[in-house]
Amino acid sequence: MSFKSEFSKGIIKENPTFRMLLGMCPTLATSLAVFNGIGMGLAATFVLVGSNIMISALRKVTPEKIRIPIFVVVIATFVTTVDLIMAAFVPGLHEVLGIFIPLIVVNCIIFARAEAFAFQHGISDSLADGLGMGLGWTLALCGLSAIRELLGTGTILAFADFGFPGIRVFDQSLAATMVILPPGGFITLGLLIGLLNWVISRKSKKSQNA
Amino acid sequence: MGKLLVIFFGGVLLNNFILSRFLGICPFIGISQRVETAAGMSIAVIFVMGLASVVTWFFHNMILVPLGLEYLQTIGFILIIAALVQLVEMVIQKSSPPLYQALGIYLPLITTNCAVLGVTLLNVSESYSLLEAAINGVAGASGFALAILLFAAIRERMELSEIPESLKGFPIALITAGLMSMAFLGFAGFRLEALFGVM
Amino acid sequence: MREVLRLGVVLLVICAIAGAVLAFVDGITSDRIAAQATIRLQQALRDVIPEADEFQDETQELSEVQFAVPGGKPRFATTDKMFTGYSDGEPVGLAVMCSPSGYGGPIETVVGVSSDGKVSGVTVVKHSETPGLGANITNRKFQMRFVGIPVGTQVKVKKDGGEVDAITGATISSRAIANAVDEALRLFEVVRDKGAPAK
Repeated sequence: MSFKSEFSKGIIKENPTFRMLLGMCPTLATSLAVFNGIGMGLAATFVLVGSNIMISALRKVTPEKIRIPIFVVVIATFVTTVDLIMAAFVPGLHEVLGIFIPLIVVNCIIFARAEAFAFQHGISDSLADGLGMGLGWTLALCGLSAIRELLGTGTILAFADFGFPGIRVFDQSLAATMVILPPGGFITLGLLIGLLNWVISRKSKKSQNA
Repeated sequence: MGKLLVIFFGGVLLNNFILSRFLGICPFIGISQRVETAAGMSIAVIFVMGLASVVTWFFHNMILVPLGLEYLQTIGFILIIAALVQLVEMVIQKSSPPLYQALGIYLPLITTNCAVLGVTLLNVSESYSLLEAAINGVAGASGFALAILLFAAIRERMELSEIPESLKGFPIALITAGLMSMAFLGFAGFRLEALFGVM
Repeated sequence: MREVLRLGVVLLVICAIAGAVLAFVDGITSDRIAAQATIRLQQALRDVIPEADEFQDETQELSEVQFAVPGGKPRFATTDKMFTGYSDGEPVGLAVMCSPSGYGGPIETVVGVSSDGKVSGVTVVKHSETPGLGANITNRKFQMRFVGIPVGTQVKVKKDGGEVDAITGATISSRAIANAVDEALRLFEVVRDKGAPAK
C-alpha cells in the first residue's frame, strides 16, 4: 500500500474512535473543550508517530519473545517526553488533561498500532499509519469536544493558556451543563456513533438499490 | 480513620472510576456482556489495583523521590504493573488452579486497564500515605466492580429488547452508561467529610 | 540460558537508552517547569492587587500570628502564604494564598485585600472542581462578587446566611472561595492591628 492510503485509512475508514472504538477513556474525559481535544489528540499523535517509527526501526533486532516489554518502554519514553514538554510550555492545558497524558501509555490505539502494524511494516508506512491514526483520533476528539463545549457552556474555542475566553454563541443560562458532565460524555458519544452507523447503513443500502 | 472512610466511599460512589473519572472504560464495555465474567474481572482488578497501589507507593517514595528521578514515574509504574500482573498470574496458576481458570484470561488484560495505572498516578498527585494509597486502590477497584456488575446485569436484559439497528452494540452501551453515570451524580450531594467528621 | 542472557541484554540496552533520553528531556525542561509555578503565582498576585508593582513574601509573619494560644488551633488553617504588595515602595495591600477544600480537593486561591481594608481581587490558581459546575469559580464574574467586601464582614454564601450568591449547582465550591476570602480578611485585620507593613 502507498504512503497516502496508509495515511488516509485512519481518518475515515478505520477511524480509531468511531470505527474501531479504541481509546475511549481519554476521548470521554478530555472532550470538554475543542482545545483540550486538540491538545490531547496531538499529544497522542506525537507518541503514536514516534513509537510507530521506533518500533518499526527496531523490529529486526527485537526478539519476538520480549517485544511487549520493549513496546512498553518505547511508548512510555515518548509519553514522558510529551508530558514534560507540555508541563513546560502549556502548563494550563497540561493541568486540565492531568493524568490522561501519562495514561497515553495504556491507550489501546497506540499499543494496537505497534503490535498490529509497526512491528510488521517498514518505517515510512509506519509513519503514515501513525500520522493517519493520530489525526483521525484528533479529528474525532475535536468533533466530540466541539459539540460538548458548545452545548454545555454556550461558548466555543476557549483556550485558557492564551487567556482566550472563547466565542460566546448563546447565553450561559441556556447551556445544558449536563453535556460537559460525565453522563453527557457517554450519551453524546453514543448518539454520535449511532448517527454515523445510521448514515453508513443508509449509504450502503442506497448503493445496493442502485 | 475518618479520612480513610472518606477516601473509600469517595472512590466507590462520588468519584466512581468508570462513571465519573472515565478510567477503565475499555474493559467496562468489552467484558460486560455476562454478569459472571464481569464478576471474575472485578475480583482480578480489585486484587491488582490494591497491590499496585502499595508497590508503586514504595517505588515512588523510596526510590524515585530520594534519587530525584520523578520523571521516570510513568515508565516505572507501567513496568511494575506489567510485572505484577505476570507475577500474580504465575502465583495463582501454581497455588490455586481453579481460581486461575476463573481469572486467568482476565489477568493479562489488566495491564492495559487504565484504571490501574490511573489509580497509582492519582495516589502520587494526591500525596497519599501508604495506607491511604492502599485504600484508594481498593476503593477505586470496588467502584469499578460495582459499576461493571450493575452494567452487566442491565446488558443481559437489554439483549431481549428491541433496539434501533444503528444503536445496537456499542452506542447503546455508551448511552446506558451515561444514564448510570447520571444516577451516580446523585451521590454528589453527600458531604462525606461532614459525615465522617473530618474537617 | 544463553537465550535468556541475550534477551536480558537487549532489554537492558533499550531501557538504558530510554533512561538516557528521558534524563536529557528532563534536563532541558525541568527549569522551565519549576519557573512556571513562580510565573503563575506572580500573575495571580498582580491580578488581585493590580496597583502593586512588587511583592514581598511575608509568610514568616504569618507563622507569628497563626496561633492565638501556643499549641492551640491554627487561626488561619487554610492559609499557605502571604505577600505584601508595594507600589513605589509604599505598601498598598495584602495578598493571601489559601487552599480551602472544595468538592474535588483543595482549591488554591489568592485573595487580595487593599490597604483600605476591602477585597481588591480574588483569583483561583489551581483546582480540581467539576467542569461546568464547580469549575466556574475561575469565572471573573463570580470572583467579582467578592470585590469590595470590607474587613469585619463574615463572608458566607447565601445558603449559609451570608450575602454572596453561590454558583448554581456548586455550593461547595462557592463556599470554599467564601471561606478563603473570609480568612484573608481576618488575617488582614490581625496583621494590620499588629502594625505590620501592610497597614
